[in-house]
Amino acid sequence: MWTGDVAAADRAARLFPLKRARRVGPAYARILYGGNIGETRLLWQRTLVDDPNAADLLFNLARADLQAGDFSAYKQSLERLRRLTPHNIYTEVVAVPERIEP
Amino acid sequence: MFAVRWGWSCDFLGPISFLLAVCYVPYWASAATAPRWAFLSLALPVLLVVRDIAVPWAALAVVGTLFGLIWVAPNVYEAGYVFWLYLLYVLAFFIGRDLPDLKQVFVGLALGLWVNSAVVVGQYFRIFDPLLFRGGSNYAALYGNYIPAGEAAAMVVIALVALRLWWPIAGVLPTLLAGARGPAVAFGIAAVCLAWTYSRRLTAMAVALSGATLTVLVLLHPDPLAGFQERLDVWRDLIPNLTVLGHGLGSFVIDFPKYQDHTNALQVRFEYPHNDVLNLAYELGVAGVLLWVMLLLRAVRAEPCAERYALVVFLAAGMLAFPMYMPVTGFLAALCAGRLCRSRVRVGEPVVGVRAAVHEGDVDGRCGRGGSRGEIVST
Repeated sequence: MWTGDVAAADRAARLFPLKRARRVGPAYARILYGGNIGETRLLWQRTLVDDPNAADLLFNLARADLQAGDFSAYKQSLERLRRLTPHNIYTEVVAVPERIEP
Repeated sequence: MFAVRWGWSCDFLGPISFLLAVCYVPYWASAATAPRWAFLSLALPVLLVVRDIAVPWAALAVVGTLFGLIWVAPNVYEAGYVFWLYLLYVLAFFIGRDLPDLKQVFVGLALGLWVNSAVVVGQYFRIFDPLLFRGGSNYAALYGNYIPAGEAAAMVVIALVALRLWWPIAGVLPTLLAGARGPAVAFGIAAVCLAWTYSRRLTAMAVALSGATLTVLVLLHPDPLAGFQERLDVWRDLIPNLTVLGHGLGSFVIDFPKYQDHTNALQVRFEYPHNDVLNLAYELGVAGVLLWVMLLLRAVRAEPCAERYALVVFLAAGMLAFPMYMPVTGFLAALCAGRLCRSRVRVGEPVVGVRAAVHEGDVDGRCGRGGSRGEIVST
């Protein structure tokens, strides 16, 4: 995976899904190597259904929601993140930013 | 009564142990564990083909019990993964129960650890490509992390010392002394227990040597208490959330971020609580703790033998790490537990053949060398 091959992480996740590290592999590969924002958000949302307490994924999802201009999804993600990590302080972006294309 | 059936399969355990110790696929995620679990998944059922029908039945009983627990687990994949590991341990337990001894297993693992030690030395002198043996720590070699490697080495070395089989030990030492402190402590505890059976002078020497080794390892470490503080933080968050029935198989890795107060869930994700008892207690509740206590009692009550001391290392290392969830240490501990729980032959019960007489030699349930106690009633 450290060669930058996201497809390899996808194949590994399908081949051996028993281990969490494998199942979330494609999601983390997208964090590292990027990709289409729409697909990435879907992938992270899917991964968070399987692993609902992955705070780092939730953090990245909130950022992606903001980048995509989906403000309500951003607030939801941030609220989940606050509940999961109550000791952390997050500054919420209150205005909808301009849509940032990947 | 099962001993005659073993025959050839017994001879394969040495090579299987060797292959398990060196099994490593470079450039894979989980390069050190996944191939080993896969290897065990293939090797153990093949070995059991020659076993008596009682074993599959007993395994099924355990499978049924564990399967019930899967349904309360938060993630079916994780539950299936841990369930599969436990199933492999059940198979290894039954294999160990009827083996004449585990000498060839210890030697096979020791020879495999020689290869690991060679890589450790190569890493020390920067001979090997660091990506090829990529791990979470220095000198991880074929284990991804020097702690599981050190635990396996500690279990094997103490068993070889108890067997007075000296020649394989030297090649294992680089792995044992690669820098991991937990395995060194566990080895020291087992060494003191072993020395205690001989003399107080030897015990004092074992204490001094273990203390000196640990002191050197601590002094050489850049931040000796960092890992321990992190473990304490995990335990402080985990203990208030223990329940009687547990949270289900494989639940720790999924659930624990919810309870992380002393550590930041955004920065660190724990796959294990670095304590086998707490892990069992969290996932299986009281049943898991009872399982562990039974293992401890078996190790405490057993006669002095190699398997007992290997199990002492396993249990002690499990206080600060997770040897129960690592393939080499878990497999070896299951074999040792099986060997210590071996079936007793009642006086007057017929034993078939000369080989059976040797295999069931320690009819009083002690685990000395098979046949050496001479209490066979009939052959």
